[in-house]
Amino acid sequence: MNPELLKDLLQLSPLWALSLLAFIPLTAKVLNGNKELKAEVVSGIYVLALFNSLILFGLFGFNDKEVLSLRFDNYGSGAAVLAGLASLICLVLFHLNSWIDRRQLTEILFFFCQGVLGLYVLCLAQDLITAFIGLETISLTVYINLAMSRKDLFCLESAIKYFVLSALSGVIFLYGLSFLFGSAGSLELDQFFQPDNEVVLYNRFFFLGWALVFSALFFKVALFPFQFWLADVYQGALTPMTAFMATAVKSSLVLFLGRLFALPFFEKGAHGFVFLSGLAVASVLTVLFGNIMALKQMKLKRLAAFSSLAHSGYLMMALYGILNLSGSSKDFSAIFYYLLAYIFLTGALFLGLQSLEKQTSQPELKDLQSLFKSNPLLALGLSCTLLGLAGIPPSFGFFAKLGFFHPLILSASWWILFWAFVGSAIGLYYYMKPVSWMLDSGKEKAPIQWPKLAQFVFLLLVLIGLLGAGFFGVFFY
Amino acid sequence: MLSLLVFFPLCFGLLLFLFPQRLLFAGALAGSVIQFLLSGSLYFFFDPSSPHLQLAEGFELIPYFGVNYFLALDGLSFWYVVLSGFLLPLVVLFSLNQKSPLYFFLLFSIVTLSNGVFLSFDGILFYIFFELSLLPLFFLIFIWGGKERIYASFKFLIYTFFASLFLLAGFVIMMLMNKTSTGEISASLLDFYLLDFVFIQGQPFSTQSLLFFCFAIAFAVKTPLAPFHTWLPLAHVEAPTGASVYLAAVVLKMGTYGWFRFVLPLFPEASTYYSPLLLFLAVFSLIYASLLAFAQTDIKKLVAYSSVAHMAYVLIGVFAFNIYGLQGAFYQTLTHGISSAALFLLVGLIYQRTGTRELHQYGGLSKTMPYFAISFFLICLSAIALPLTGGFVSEFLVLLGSYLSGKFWVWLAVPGVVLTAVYMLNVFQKIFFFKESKISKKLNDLHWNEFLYLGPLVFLVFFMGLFPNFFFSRSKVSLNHLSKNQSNYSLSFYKPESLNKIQPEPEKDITEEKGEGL
Repeated sequence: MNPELLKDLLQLSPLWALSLLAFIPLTAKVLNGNKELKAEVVSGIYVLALFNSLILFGLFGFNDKEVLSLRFDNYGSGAAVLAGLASLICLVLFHLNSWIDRRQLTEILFFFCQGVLGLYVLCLAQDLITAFIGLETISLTVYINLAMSRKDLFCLESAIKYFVLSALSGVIFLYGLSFLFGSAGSLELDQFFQPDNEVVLYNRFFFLGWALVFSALFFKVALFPFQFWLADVYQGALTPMTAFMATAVKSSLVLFLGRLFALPFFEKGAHGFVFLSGLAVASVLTVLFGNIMALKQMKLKRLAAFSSLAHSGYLMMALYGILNLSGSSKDFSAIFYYLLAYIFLTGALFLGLQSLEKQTSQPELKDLQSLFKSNPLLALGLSCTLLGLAGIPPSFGFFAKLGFFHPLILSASWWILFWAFVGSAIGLYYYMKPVSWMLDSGKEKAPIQWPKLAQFVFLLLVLIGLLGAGFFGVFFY
Repeated sequence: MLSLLVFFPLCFGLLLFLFPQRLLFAGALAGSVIQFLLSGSLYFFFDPSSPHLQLAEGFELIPYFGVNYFLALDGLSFWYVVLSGFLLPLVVLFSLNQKSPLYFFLLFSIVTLSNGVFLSFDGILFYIFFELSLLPLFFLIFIWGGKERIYASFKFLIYTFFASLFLLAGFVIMMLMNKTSTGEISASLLDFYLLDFVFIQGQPFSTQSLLFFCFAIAFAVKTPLAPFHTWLPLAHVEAPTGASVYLAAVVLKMGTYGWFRFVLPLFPEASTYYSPLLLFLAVFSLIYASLLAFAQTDIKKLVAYSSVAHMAYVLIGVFAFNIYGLQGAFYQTLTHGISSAALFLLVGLIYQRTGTRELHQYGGLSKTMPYFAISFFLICLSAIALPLTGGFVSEFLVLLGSYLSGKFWVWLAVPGVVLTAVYMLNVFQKIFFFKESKISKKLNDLHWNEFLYLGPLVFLVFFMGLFPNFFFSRSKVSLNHLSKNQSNYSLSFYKPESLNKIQPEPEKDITEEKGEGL
């Protein structure tokens, strides 16, 4: 066998191993006469598959090699590992969910894992077409899972909404690619963005192409003018799917946006500053919109949706700060660190919300009443998570905020910083509101029963969200 | 030692959850007395002849952010730590009928956090304690508050949180500056003091001015300075008495402490340049809050506004930039700590009996509750700043300081002294004299526990008035160091046998000076 091929295969092993391992439970189900295996076994195998891919990333991911226009550099592989980690948490959420359609668990998790594969491709892509393939893989699996995971009108509503709008944005992305290809003659990120290229600098089609691509990506991340689908889709979806979209999908999209914006074109090109100022405006408006809309929400998942919207705004602010630094000092570690804290805290939040769903399918603020009496552990954990998301010290969320200040201060973006302050002050209100409901003494309720595994994972996530700051920074700083 | 002082109350508060119901009060009292003794024992460990950091302890917390766990003690923080320890048993004694361990836990955790604020010499650690101290107060107001508790607690939380974010930004800016100048990212205050901030007149976005405003906003809200004071009366009125006492006596001091610890030494030029602005706000806040206090019919709100007025003196003293002003301001924080705590306890005490704080409902109380009347009167005297009480010494020094600084328009503040007398005596007259109202007839005088917590406070009011040197002797050197070296302030670690210890300058006895002033 060709040793080069073998090397490449090894390099790509995190991707194909995940994809192939995901087929095992599916095949077993088919051979078993289309009957579900035990849920523990199925989820166990998928967890192993994901975990395995993370380990393979650790082994082969960080050697800066390029295979099939997938580059395994620190940035890409780091993004992929973040996405994998978030997906791992979501997988546990799937296993513990009580509303999921149990007859189709294998299929749901199978599609889920293929979606993670799409995330990996997106994170590693060195080529816009490859990125498009990754994006579409994610979208496809998300459409299917949104609709399939639960038989419920809300779910169908969210699936249809997401399908129609996201398909549209996919088309816009592709249309943008055609302009880019037409004007620059290539879609490889490294090659066609030479800073001294006349076409790249002044061509208007090139500009239009980027505008379309960014519109599509802003839509997928749900930044300000394109955020309207978010709350409905998040609210209707099965909670693990919401968590998946809010953590894994969002983190890889944000990092992909970071990779695009870091191209020399935006620093040196004639139109680059247009996009950068657009990013600044969009980030500020996203923060304000997310925070203000969250104030009046009574449904907890909607509240979480708007809070995640606000956090994507903060991430974009940090991105803007980083992009404004001069070339050599661009350091994306603030974004990675923030995302890590966000993933753990959001994972804990959704796990907590999910355990509330035992009683109602759409938990509201009033369902939290007197939770401190009936379920002290859950209430304490949820409160800590919410405070962590609000950035109260000494939680992980606080140190993430501290890291997020660095690029903004170094680039002297004072106004952006000011709006971030306003946003987080508003944010504190709606993060404290559920806590105040939990403290409120209403009529006694029966305590919620939740499995030992859920309690363990929840506590683990909350503890990392509270105290993980010291440990995880080692990887980024 | 210092870590024990900081974390003992928190751990003990957690322990209280395990106590059986009938031992809860006794347990809390025991814990609070231990904490008081611990903080009082600092008196013997602390060497007042050096302005440098004593009893320092620390380790690296998060190296890549430059965050260290770094506690130390100096003359500026000494009395605040003692004050917060001293008030704890009194507040516990007040809460004799409190059945909830959570209440005591939150009270104890305020002591932990305030001690953390006063003792930490690392910017981020300071910020962590500073911000976290909002939470126990929020919960105290939210759970045990009055009718408008939800609005009041959220307003308090968000108002102060928003302001303190600027503080965080200020710290991060200084940390990054430290990184560019020394290559090491560090949030240690000792490093901050060595930094050189460029000051350009008239440019609010130049480095030093920007930092100055970041810090000034945070501390002006916390102090509080009108027009940033609106969270305070609300929070006070709705808070349970224990929380009110800590809010007035300790949490506001975190704000004033910030001016001494950060603003003056770090940004000398900017604070001189912008001092007219702050002095104007302080004088405005003094007169405005006094007038508002006069207009209140709710006694607790009146006391809250009087707090705002008293805190304005601190600012006037600080921005006089001389030793008299500084000492007066510092002493004002201590006397206010005692007198406002006492006033809130008194108001809480009468509220427990009658269920109302409306001024009109009282009258003729002096007949049914003579001891209460006497203690209220004595505390009032301190608030009015009559000679022999602590309030006099501090306000006298503040006014002397501002006179010496040559800013004569600050003397607009003098009518404030008179206004204080007006509203204080007015409220005293309305509660204790005139015709006996329905409510006043059936009241009992003070119980044993009430004597126990009012006695020390009344005693201290006069002790502070008669023997101010007892208090100044601990912090004089630090304040002198600050006022002399304001433009190149620095601190280092205290070495007992070091030869280059800064000798305290022989100073005139302040009690003597008081006589001259009169």
